[in-house]
Amino acid sequence: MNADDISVGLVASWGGELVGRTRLQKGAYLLHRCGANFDIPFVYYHYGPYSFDLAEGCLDAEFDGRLKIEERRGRHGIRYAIFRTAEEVDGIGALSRREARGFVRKMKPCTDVVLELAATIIFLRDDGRYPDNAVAATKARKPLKATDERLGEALSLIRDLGLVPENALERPT
Amino acid sequence: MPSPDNETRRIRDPVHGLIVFGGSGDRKRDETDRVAWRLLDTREFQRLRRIRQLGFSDLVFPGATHSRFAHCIGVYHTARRLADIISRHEGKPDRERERVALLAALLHDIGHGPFSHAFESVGERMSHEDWSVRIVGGDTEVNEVLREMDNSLPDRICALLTEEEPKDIYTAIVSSQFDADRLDYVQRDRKAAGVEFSHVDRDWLFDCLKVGRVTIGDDRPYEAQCLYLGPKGVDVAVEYLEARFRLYRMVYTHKTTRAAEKMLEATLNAAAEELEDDELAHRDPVLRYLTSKSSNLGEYLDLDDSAVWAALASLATHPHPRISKFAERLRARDLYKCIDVGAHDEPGRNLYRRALRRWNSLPIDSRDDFLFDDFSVTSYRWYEFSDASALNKVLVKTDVDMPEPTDIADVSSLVRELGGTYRYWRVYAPDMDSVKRFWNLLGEDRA
Repeated sequence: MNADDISVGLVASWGGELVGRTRLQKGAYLLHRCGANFDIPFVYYHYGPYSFDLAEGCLDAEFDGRLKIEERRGRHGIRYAIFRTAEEVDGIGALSRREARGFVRKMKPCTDVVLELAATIIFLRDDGRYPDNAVAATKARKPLKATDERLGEALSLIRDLGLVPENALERPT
Repeated sequence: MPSPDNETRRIRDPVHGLIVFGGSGDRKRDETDRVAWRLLDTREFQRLRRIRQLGFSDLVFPGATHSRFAHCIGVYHTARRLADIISRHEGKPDRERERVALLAALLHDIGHGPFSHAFESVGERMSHEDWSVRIVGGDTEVNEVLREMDNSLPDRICALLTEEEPKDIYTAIVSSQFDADRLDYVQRDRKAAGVEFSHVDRDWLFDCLKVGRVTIGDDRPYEAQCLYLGPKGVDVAVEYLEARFRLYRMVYTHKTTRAAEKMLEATLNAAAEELEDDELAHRDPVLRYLTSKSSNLGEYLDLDDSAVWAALASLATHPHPRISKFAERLRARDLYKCIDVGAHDEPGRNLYRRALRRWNSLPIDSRDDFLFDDFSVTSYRWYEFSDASALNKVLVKTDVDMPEPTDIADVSSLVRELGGTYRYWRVYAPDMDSVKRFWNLLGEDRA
């Protein structure tokens, strides 16, 4: 599955519309770790795991008319993007459509910040730098975003997605 | 004979004039200055003398040969001035937090590699921020000097350098859109490049800076201390943001500089892929680093601009034709030609995509060696006050009676226009014939 298909598959799994690049990137990373096993690299960039290939894939898919990317300005003129697709996909990466939608259903109610925190914790834990203290490392990087409440939500999401064994992450201090 | 520890030290700086370390009459500040001075002499900090601040920019602006060493000293000096403003407004400033912020400002670029982003983009390597943290926290002279003053200093500086969002006024000095780094480089780079635009009335700017409080956060809003510009400073704050915007457009992303960067990237990427077992990769520090995927701190500290130029000299005679071609052309400043495909509009974006698609569909052996360049420049980023990163803003009061400062973008239409991300699509071609072939690829008769 190439990066264009991943971008379209991701938006389709999200119900055809996904708002914001943070949601796109962090959602893709979490889905990747949920078993989609995308063949694209993620690096730590832009406040957490990020895939340049995925960003490029979105532009390719848009060029081919498979994805519509609408740039908007919100409150205070802050720009954000809405990704839309009319395509239906059978699955995404190694996940079936049903599996992908199941995971997305758990991510959807979360705020962008909670998705960012969850994705960052998993990335820092598994890239070898913070195997035992990824939660503390995330909190240190994001001292304001990582409130106890949001960290709690991020850890719940990680648990609900089955990303790490029970008690494998330290409790926030 | 060694100088006594309490002696005042001085550096002449082309931007700030005389920068004095010590002799302030403030014991805490003098102690910090003494540590800062000792840090300048460490092996890791001296490496910054051999790394140009603007990489290849001197290919276009011959004066732009200033080093990261000079910039870092300028950042320290600027951070001190900002800290002084906080101290003047605060009855009881947090002097420990101030010390950590000042030393973090001095060390913020300690992990920079040669040719900054062109070098960093090769392979999936650690960022310069990660290297900075490793240098401050690792087995280094920098770490030793810091620990001699206070055992906890390295960890506290690493923590500050790692923070992605300014959590308080002191972090904002080190990392925000109005930090000491930007305030220094806007002036230093302009001066070194010799351009007449992007002047900022620095003294006026500092004189208009005040300390206030701003409410941030969404679910549990709280008041945070912040630096802001009073009514008489609004215009100069706009001037500062415009200066950055112009420098990005006309200096940092100059088409010739970018051509050299893309060529270096292509050379190093090819070398990393092709020369893993090459004898040259064992003896050249740059190639050894790239091919071994090493994260060894000692090996990283051997890298500087001269090491890259030495690697290019070796590669210029290497049997690999593409690598030697790039290396030789870089050394001779025989740079690829820039094709401006578009900027910030849909037709440009589509044209670039179409070209990339068509070029990729051609057999590798028969296609021109084009270098594609899709990049963006963000001159000012807006944040919501509800956002945790709200201290990243440039804050102003247009009226002294305003209850709280506001985002400069709220009061300046020029900043709103400059704000956001501008995207550029360029292609670099080996020669003018290939430029023509590029347009032919798109079915257009241009050159």
